[in-house]
Amino acid sequence: MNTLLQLLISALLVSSLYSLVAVGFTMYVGVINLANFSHGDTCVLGTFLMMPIFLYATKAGWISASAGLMIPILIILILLLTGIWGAAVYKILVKPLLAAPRLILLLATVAAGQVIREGIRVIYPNGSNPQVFPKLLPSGGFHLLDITLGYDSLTIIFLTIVCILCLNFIIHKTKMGVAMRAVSQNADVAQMMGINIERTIIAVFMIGSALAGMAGILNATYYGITKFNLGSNLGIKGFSAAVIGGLGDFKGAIVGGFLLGFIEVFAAAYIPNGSQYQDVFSFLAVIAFLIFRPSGILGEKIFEKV
Amino acid sequence: MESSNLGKNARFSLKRGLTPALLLVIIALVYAIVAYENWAVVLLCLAAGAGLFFAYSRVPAVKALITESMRTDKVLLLVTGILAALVIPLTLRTQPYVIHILIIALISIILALGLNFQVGSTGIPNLGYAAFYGVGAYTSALLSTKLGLSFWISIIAAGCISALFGWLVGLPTLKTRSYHMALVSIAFGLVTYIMLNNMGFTGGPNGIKNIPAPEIFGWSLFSSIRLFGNTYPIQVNFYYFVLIFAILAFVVSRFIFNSKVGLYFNAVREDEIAAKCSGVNTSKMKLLAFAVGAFLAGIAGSLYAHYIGYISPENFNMNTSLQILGMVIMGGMDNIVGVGIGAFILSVAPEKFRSLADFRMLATGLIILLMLIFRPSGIVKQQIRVYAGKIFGKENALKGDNHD
Repeated sequence: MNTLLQLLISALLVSSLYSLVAVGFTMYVGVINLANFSHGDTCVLGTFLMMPIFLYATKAGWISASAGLMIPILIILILLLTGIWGAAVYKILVKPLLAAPRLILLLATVAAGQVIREGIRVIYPNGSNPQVFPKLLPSGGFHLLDITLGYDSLTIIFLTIVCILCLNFIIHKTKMGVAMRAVSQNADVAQMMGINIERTIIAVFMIGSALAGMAGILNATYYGITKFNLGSNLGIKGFSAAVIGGLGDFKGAIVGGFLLGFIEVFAAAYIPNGSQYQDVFSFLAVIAFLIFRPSGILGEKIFEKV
Repeated sequence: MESSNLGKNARFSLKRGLTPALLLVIIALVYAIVAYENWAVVLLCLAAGAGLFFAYSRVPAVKALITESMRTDKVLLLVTGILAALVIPLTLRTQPYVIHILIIALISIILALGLNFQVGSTGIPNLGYAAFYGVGAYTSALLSTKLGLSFWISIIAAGCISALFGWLVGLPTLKTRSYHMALVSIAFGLVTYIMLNNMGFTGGPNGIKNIPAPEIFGWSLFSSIRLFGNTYPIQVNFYYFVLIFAILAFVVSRFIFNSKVGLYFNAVREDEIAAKCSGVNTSKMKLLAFAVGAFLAGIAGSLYAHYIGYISPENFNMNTSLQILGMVIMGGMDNIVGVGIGAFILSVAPEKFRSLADFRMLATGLIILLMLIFRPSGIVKQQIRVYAGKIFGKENALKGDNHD
């Protein structure tokens, strides 16, 4: 019973990280029908932006004086930076290729991911090796029903919920959100109704990349470690979660993230030798979905139009 | 009337001289790039090649002259090319490492030709291509080390099992969109990598050692040849051996490209629904593109395993997939000659800048990115398929030009 509860907590934690990545991923697909394969590497970019800034802040003595206030400010700074990065990726890479066949754009995002990954490895001092990531979240924990609840995991789950609620608010209650939904339904008509498409897409890229930065930082601070090539795995998990939930669907990405997280944690725990093969199980789940329900759990059935 | 005829003749003789001169320059450049270890020389030659290429692509007169002379002297071109490929390694007797690079380049050409069926001809993104390469290499290595089968059985088995995997990976994506395919191929690449690392019979991270060399009628390729008092390194044997396979792969790819199947592949790429409406069995074509591409990867993997004699999962990870993808994109998607050129450049050039080996993967990523943004068609563009020539005579066929 206790192991089950403990597993439940860790599954919740993994799931919320996957959901964060998946939500960002699904936004690109939903609005401009682009699978951004550099999304996972943007997560890692966030962690590698955080480390020098955190180091500088510690040296300047800001952290120790008012840790409770400084760390959220630093995180928001990183979210801004990754958001700007997302806008830059759109301007430099995606916009010139929007008219080209989708295959070209897809391959370009794959190459962009590679450039981020290898750029980090080459530029960051000793970048080939795993880097110790600072603990940003409160340490310690408390006991409840014989299981240990770490404050850090609780904070991560809480922050994920906050992010998703914020995003939900943006999408459903603000003007920008209405514009996003309109562009996602029909870009031409949206433009005729006076929506600035370019600004909307840039907003999507900024929000998506900021979510990636958030996911990357939470992931790195929980495991205490980050490495240049962690992003490809994280990105593919996020993509898988988005596919399971139904690509382009905001709620579907969250559901898919949770399904994937639970499959992974419980397969690792209950299948003999499972921890070595936990990635294999999640990919098998995705392939099963692609065969039997390609539109995902919440997705609508795709009708091809001539 | 007379004067125009005279002008035609003069131009004709100029063209006659142009092809050999051009060939000489190109062969000299390639030879210098291959044989010299000095990176400054290599850089200079690469720059010269790039200059030639820019003159070709930017100045219409140069382009017309070169294309036409290449067309009229096809036989000369082919003969000189093959002769150069045969003679060059013999002059590099004292530099076995250079021949090693050439062998790797030939294997890369086979790989890139295989990936071209998927990414280039059919337009299916395959981001886990190295997994098929790995499946081929491991199949061949396991069959020949554990069961003691001969190389010839192993290489055919490697190709077939790899093709089977290609077919299986293609299956889940028949109903879905292109980015699902990208996901499945990445996932397959990662799963293969994890499996190779964790399963017992593949030797785990240590890989497989002591893979025997191929034998031709009992003569092992690991025994060096003595000719005219010179001992040639064993790399020379392997070079000719792999060259035969590369030429075979080239011929087969060209045959498929020119056949109806090649046309169907292109139809699937351009518009799947329209292809379906025109009676193309798109599911079958996609699976076929996967199987053929994977078959070539399997053959290349088997050649690699038996040449190097040692394989480990690290040879077949995501980076390898992206490198092969870079070769296809740089050379020119759906152009067989272009893909060969891309594979050659991207496998030879990095070896010349070994002091910058750390930047190799970054450079691959940047090359793919810049190519896609500024010249998505690659070094050599796709050829328009011209069928009119077969009906109306040869003159019409010559009018088919490159397109953007």
